[in-house]
Amino acid sequence: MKESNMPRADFVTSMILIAFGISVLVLSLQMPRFEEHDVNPYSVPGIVPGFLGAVIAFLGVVLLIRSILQKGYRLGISGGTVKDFFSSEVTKRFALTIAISVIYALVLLGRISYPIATGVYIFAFIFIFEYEWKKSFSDQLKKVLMALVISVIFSAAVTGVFRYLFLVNLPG
Amino acid sequence: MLEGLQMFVEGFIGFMRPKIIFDVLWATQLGIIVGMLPGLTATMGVALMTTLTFKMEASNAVLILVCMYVGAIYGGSRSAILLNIPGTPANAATAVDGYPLAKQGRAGRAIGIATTGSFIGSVIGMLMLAFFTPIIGNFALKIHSPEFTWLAIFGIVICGNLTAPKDPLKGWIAGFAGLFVAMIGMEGMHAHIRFAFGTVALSGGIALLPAMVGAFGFAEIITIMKHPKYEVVKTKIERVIPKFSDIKRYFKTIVRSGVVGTFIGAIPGVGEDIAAWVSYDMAKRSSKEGDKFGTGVVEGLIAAETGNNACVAGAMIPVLSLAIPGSAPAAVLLAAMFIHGIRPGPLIMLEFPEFVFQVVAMVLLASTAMLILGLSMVRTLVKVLLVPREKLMPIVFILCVVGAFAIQQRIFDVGVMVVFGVIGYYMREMDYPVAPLVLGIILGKILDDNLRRALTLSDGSIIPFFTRPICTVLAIITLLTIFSRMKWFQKLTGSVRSGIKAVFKGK
Amino acid sequence: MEKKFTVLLILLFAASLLFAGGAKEEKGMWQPTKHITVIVPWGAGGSTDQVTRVVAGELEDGLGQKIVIVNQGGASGSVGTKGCLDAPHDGYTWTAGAAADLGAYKVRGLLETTLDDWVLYLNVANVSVISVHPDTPYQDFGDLLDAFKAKPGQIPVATAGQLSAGHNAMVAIQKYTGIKFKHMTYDGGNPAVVATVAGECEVVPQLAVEEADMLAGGKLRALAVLDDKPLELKGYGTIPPVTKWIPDFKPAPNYFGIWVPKDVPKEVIDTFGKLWDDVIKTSQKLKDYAAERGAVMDPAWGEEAKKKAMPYLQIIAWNLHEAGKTVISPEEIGIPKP
Repeated sequence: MKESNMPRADFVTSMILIAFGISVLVLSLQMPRFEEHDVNPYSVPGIVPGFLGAVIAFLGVVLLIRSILQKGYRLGISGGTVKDFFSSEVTKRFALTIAISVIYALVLLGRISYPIATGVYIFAFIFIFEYEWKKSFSDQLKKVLMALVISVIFSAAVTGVFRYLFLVNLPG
Repeated sequence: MLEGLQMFVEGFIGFMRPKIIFDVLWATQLGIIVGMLPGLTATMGVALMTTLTFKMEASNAVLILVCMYVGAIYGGSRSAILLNIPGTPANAATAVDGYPLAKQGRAGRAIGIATTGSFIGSVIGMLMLAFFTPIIGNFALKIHSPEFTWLAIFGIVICGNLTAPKDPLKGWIAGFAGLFVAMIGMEGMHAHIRFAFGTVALSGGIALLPAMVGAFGFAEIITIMKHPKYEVVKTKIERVIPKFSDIKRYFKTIVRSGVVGTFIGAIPGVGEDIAAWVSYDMAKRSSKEGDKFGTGVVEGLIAAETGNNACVAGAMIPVLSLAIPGSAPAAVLLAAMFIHGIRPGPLIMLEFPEFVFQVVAMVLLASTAMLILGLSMVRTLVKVLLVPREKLMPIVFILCVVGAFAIQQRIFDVGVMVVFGVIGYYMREMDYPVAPLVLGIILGKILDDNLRRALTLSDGSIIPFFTRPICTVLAIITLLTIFSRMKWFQKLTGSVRSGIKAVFKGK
Repeated sequence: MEKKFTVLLILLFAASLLFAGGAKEEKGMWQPTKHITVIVPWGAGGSTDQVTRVVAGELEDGLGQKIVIVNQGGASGSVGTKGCLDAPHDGYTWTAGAAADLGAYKVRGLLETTLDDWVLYLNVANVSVISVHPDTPYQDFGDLLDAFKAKPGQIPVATAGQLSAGHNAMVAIQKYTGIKFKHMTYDGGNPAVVATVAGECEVVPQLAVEEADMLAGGKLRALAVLDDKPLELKGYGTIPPVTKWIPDFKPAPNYFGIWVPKDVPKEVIDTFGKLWDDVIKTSQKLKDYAAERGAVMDPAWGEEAKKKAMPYLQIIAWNLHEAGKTVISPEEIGIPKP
């Protein structure tokens, strides 16, 4: 993130922190006090989260004041900046990384066999980031085969080490 | 004392058998690997080995566990330096200066320094283990609930201060957010479920390791992958074995970190992570290059690594003298000793005096193995940096996934890892350090239980938090750490200092 | 070269594991084909963890497979117990603990399960010992009772939390004597003992296994054992029974063990039963463990185990019910009033 955008980001985060801190405080105050169970009033569950909520809200206020002093309230969101953000290469790669990793970790795992899911993930990851669609397939055959070999070796190695050496019941 | 030396020598000679030396080598190497893999920690490594060494003779089994423990705490420095992913929570401070060094192409030197620092740290800890076991053991008993409360707050404050050199406010926000994360789930006193909003998975709480692996590991993967172009670090390994002059130059820092690390290790429940941060902090305060810490300063790296490995031996002091574990892996080690019929505790000097010195010999053996294995395999390991990111990152990610899953074997933890990865990524983007968040998750439970316990004992009075001697010290240091970052305080201390000077000069 | 060395070490290690586990053939016995997991729903190093690891080590030979202990603590052991219930009921996932905790989860509203859903394999029975910090003025249990009465709600008592063995002991004493105490909870039995040794609390009523070392080391003074006969503790001496001061006190042993959901394959149940009869009942390691830690070795399994566990469960379930800490009556799930 650019240095000049930081006060703006801080301005927004500080609001979120204050709201978060206050909601934590309110939820903590609503926690049961167990008076009917003859419980010591200083041991009730809400004390520490309430304290933390208050501290987070306070730190949020400090951040808010500081960002206002740095003129962070000028948010300056225009159609152009939003468009730039969504079309940039960085955003694409960012989204792609998260997407394939999430599909592997949260969708495939536990549904299909662990070594297969893992092998597919490694291959897909290497392929997506290394394969250049503009070039012909035959030029890149070596690259694809390499990805295949890596995915098979590492999927087998990790499965073997964790299943037989560390005795973990792998998902799926 | 002479008797002790004799028992130590006897113990050491007893271990000089080919089979045992072979055990030491593989156990330490396995420990280094476990430590290197993000998500596999020393605790888990020692717990696994306990099961696998059940059939062995007591002292051999404990030896293997000690090797695993020492190796794992050291091994984590590898991934911290090479990938900016601390292999275990203990190595978060190592990454602060280690990773910049690797980026400057000095990974070989950084690893050499870290290895040597770890070795000297272990040796210092070992000496203190041998000489001070009874004394330090008794000091640990002076730490009650109010002191624990302060230690938790103090840990967050110094960690936030250190990891966000430009902006400590963000470090503290991250730290308190981490403390809050630890509040999720069922609390220990009344079994009340907090902030789970009716979900069963959340009522078990957010486990530390998946959160840590995500916030450090997955966030790092996203950061590395998103740039269209990426420069592969050119690493020349000019020299791995550090120069003697380096060791001599930083001798004071090494000894200080070793002693501090051992003491912190001796405090029950406070482990290697805090030892590393405190050593790092003290090195920063006293160093001439203090301002440059965080940009690849050798002194910072050596302080962190000496501190966390000294802590290993420190954590064994209360294990042996009181049967109170000084850290989480030490708790497992203690359990293993019980299983093998060795009963550490106040009676150990009467019942098994030779065992105490056997453990000292074990620490020495494990540290030596660590030094040899550590220095001899650097060249291969540094090549990790030359692997293109498209091939390395998916493998790092599957290790993050399996590491998050392996401890409790719950798919939910994999989800936690992913969510904290995204959170960690955005925190970095906005200059929030991740380390205080992770430390917060560790310390949250300590704070929660001890603050309430202390208040219950004092019937709600907060006076003991300031009047108990250790509390007074901790309170003053905590407040000084906060104020030292504020401009008005710096001005004030500046004017006081010049005022005092003026008085003495008689003007 | 170096890499090869690493790989070699790992391979050697893996190979040694494979060869270590050569299975023995026997008719009608269950032959597990991979390692067995025992979820200890408490932290590593605690009373459940220790005894479970001893038993697991003794069982491995007969099964021809490794037994892996996974510590899955949290929520009075209910998180780990649920983990076992959610795993496939194939005999490869077990859990452990105190039988009375398992039986009381439903009454407390923590978990939808009762003793009837499980097959129990018990190993030892534990008793609570009321101990005090050595600098306190209480020389015998009578002194302590008088102090509780003189200063109601002010003497701090360290336990491992709600429904822990220590808390149950105090609730039972409370029922007979009407005393009031300041309940201080810790993460487990050992931390509670340590807090008392450190002087933060004055009294600890946890299990003898958890206090044994501190008692033998002179860091704690035992006042009474919650039993009707005295307890001989190796290295400490004789601890008088609580019935000396509260004659009508009805003690019951607190059984620990491992268990598995009852709908696992029948050969799993029979194989473990046979191992229990042949191996555990005569295990020297378990015998030594019990003698050193002040526990009573008393292995049993199946229906017999359930009968042994019931009296203590009745006491704690009804004590909780009378204290208003239950969601349903113990009667409704087949726990009669003691």
